[in-house]
Amino acid sequence: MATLNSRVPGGPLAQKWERHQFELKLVNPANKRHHSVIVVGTGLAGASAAATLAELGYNVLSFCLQDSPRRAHSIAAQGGINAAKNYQNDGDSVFRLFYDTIKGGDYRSREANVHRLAEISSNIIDQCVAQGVPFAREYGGTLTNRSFGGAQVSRTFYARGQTGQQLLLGAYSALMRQVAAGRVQLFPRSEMLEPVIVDGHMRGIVTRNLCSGEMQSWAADAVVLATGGYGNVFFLSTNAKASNVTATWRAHRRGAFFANPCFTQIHPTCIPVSGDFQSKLTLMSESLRNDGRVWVPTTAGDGRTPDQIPEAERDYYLERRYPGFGNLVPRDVASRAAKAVCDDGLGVGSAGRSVYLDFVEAIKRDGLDVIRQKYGNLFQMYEEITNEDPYKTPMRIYPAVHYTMGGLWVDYDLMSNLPGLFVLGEANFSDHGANRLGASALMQGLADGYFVIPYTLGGYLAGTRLGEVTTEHPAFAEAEAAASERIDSLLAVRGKRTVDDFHRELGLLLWDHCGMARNASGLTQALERVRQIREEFWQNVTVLGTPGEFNQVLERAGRVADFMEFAETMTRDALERDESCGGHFREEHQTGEGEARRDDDNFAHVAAWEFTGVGQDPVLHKEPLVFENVSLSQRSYK
Amino acid sequence: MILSSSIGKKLGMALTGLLLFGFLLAHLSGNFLLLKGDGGATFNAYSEFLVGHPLLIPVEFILLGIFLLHIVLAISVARDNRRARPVGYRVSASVGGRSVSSRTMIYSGLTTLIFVAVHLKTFKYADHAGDSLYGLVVTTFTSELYVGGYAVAMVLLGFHLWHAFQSAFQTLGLHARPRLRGLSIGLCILIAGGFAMIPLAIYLGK
Amino acid sequence: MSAGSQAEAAVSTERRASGMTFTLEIWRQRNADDPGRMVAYEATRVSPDMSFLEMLDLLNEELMRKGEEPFAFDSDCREGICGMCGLVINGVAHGPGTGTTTCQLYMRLFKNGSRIRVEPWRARAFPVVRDLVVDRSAFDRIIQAGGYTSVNTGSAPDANATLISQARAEEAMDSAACIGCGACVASCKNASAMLFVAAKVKHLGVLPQGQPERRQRGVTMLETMQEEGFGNCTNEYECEAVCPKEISTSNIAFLNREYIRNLVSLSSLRPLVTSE
Repeated sequence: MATLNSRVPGGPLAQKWERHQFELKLVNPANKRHHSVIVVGTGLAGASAAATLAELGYNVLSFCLQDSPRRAHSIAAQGGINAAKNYQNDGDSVFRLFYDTIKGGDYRSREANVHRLAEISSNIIDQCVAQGVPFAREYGGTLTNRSFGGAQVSRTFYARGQTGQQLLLGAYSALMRQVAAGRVQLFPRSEMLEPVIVDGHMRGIVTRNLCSGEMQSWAADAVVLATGGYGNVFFLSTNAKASNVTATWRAHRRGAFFANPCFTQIHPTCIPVSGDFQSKLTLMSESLRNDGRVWVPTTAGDGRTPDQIPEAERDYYLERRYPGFGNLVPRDVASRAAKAVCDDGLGVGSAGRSVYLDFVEAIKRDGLDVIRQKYGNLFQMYEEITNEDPYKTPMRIYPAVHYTMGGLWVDYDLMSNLPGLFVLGEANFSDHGANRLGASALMQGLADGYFVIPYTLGGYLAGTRLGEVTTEHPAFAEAEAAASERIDSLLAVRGKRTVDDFHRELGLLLWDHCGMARNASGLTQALERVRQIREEFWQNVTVLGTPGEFNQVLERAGRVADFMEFAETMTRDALERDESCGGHFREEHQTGEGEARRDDDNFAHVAAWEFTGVGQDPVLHKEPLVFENVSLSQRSYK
Repeated sequence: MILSSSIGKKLGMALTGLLLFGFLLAHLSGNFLLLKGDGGATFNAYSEFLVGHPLLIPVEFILLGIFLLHIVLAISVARDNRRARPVGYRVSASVGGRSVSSRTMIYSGLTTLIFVAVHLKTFKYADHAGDSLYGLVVTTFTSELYVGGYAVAMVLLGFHLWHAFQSAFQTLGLHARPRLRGLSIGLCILIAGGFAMIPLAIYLGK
Repeated sequence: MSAGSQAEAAVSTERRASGMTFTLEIWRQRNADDPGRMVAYEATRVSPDMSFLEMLDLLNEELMRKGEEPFAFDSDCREGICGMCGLVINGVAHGPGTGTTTCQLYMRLFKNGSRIRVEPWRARAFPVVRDLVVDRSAFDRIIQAGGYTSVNTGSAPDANATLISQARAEEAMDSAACIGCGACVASCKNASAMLFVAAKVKHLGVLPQGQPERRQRGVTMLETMQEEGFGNCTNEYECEAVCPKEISTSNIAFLNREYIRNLVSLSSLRPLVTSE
């Protein structure tokens, strides 16, 4: 197997992208219509890529598993999108955004990719405004910004608490325009089940039509995967129910490397689990920590209601442990601290797995009206879900999985090690290292789709001699057969336990051993247990109905089966990365203050895993990370 | 072309509806002359003035055109709407502005059409050579059946106007439902009540 | 750690044992050719903290354990923004909550022991795929008919080149908040999509970026709405009452004004469309 070549262009950091754009070969405009491109996924990355490639003249086939491209989970992003516009004149720059992103990612991302992201960020805002995205404005009519995720500059653009929705609808409308123009063929309710490789190049996919159950083959000159992250491996996460690893995992099974799968981000302010029936978790904006104080009772098992607990018997543990930053410590630090107090039995709520976020003092200080103005909609959402009024009683919060930094390995052109397979957005590993900053996911998705892939995909097509391939090629029949066989074997198990039952068990296991804090013995146990659960799944799962119809249980079974395989690689990666960095916290590697301690000598690399078979050890390939423009430092929030 | 578009049809409905509403107001003010108590002298003079006016026939044709257009559009809109939901709900509930009036527009409208036909037959195209129009009216309104039927028709007309009046403004682009609600109900009561009151008064006054 | 999880499970099991009970009547329809019917189920041990969809999940899990095929329903984000979920519950689209989607509806809103009837969106333009799942691709085709600005990637001017007042941006946002769930169509006695069309026409119609194509946008989107088989608006305002994003029918009045504006300016014989 080929060694990893990131193909980062030479020259100074700030000129790499421009130089590369010039060096990439161009496809003759008249020839573009002779090339077809498959784009799987219609979130920010997928929709923007499909629309832009179609505008350039390529024939685009766009697939999504929802009933409309507009429903992709990008729509749920609340906070905003970063861009180095420096409209606020507060010292922002491309380099500062680059630096913040590299540092925030705890020095586990590729410098050149991140710098390009920062360069492109401004163009994204221009494009979105032209599409009619109603960003928040100043009285004078200019765009307004807020600071977000601990950044010292205001560079976040937003549209109320629905920025993801508005950006996605912008990309969706551009996509719809190309559908109307006949340049994009749209296939909603279609799930990619197999990639098709011909002569070492990615040449198509096999999909299952979710309405009819029909297997269909599609041939193209290149395939773009923009299918999001794998947070749902934990069962409970803030991801949408249908978010899954299937497309990327199936590509991985056919040779694409999976990079840094252990890098997952846990968000500290989510509404806690209220029972074993819970189907997903809901995130509340981090901004709540600006005014709320986090605490737990000082005695384990204190059964009193919060108003009955006197001040002296409360532990404001973040303020106590981090006097410098207090309640505003970064996401990973706040999350781990909450877990620690709950593990000590100090957690509150019926299950003891939550902590208080108290606004009493803020209300006293600023008045009810100010607090209502700032957080009214969040308080209302919280009350709707929990039936508790946060104006009167403290909120209860607990961390939850909500983003995954790992993904398929890609080079500077966002192409995986399989030629012709491009991976965009959360589905790739490229830009966020071991931890993503707030308001950067939207930026990356749109940067990849609007401004990177149109160039790099053209360069690939112009520079590669691709023969004519149709779906008549035997590789398609083989892939269709493989996909059908997998479905048939799921239906043939006829066991006793439901798909969700297995998924919950897997999720809980990973949450306990491969979640906010990890250690070698827990991970080793989990690795063993994941295999057992997977084996039991294939012997005892119940999947009813037939393959040739709309069958939601069958869909879920296929996705969970892939999560079962993926979980093993994720756990192995967490075990292998014997250091703490960003969202990956190995208990063995912490400072005396309980902070993550990196091991730059041994782990300043991307861990890219090669599939060798189910239940067999994957092969690790390392892409060393070279830092020429930033110096590596240790975080401290005392 | 305009009248095949969804909003075009509605616009046609709203404009013809408002014109018909205007006609009703004029008609009602004429009818009030019946109650003047002068044995019908003013009313007869008024009706003779209208009958003798050279513009009467053209105006009547215009009115007929408006009325027919209103009906044709109404049937077309109702037919589209019925087709848009071939399988109905087993349970249906309202949480918005749906009212008896809005739900039954086509029925209250068609009842009004029947009423108009009967009404024209009774008064406009009746053979009353030996009597004045006033006399005919008074004679007709001695019948309980006729007075009762007339009153029922007016109540249905009122229901029709209740939704129609405010709806017309929304269709014309004026989103003023909260402000118009009172005015709309007031006008409905005035028109339906006014029309219904006259035969009752005549019947009771005898 | 796992002790915590066990405690969690124990507590919630205890809560569920003393839970609520409902009689559910659910629309079952195997495919588009099946006429369909209501089928009654008992949902027991329902926690008041469950969302409506979690209650349906629970019921489906029980059906599967008994070897019965579960019923299909759509949902995705389960936080009220993707627009994927949508059920008519006791005759009301998205059920009894105001300004909420079906996924944000909690069982504490329902009376213990009551009968709950669940049906899919019903409209000719939204054919049933299976059980409670419908095909809403007609909405995509309406957007394809003009619900965009024709700006290719890369050709946009600087974002601050055009000033937009705060009030104008807020007004556009109010309309742009539409999640395309289709509750407006489901609740309308005429299965009209007028609120959906109007929200997009107004969102782009009030912004400077939407002006170049403003005149044909309303016309073409409206034509497509009719071709897809949606009904006409008869101003009952049921749509606004069930809309999870509380989009106002003033959007429809705006669309009506756009239509009139077009009629008036047609007569001045200006070209209607400047081609791309």
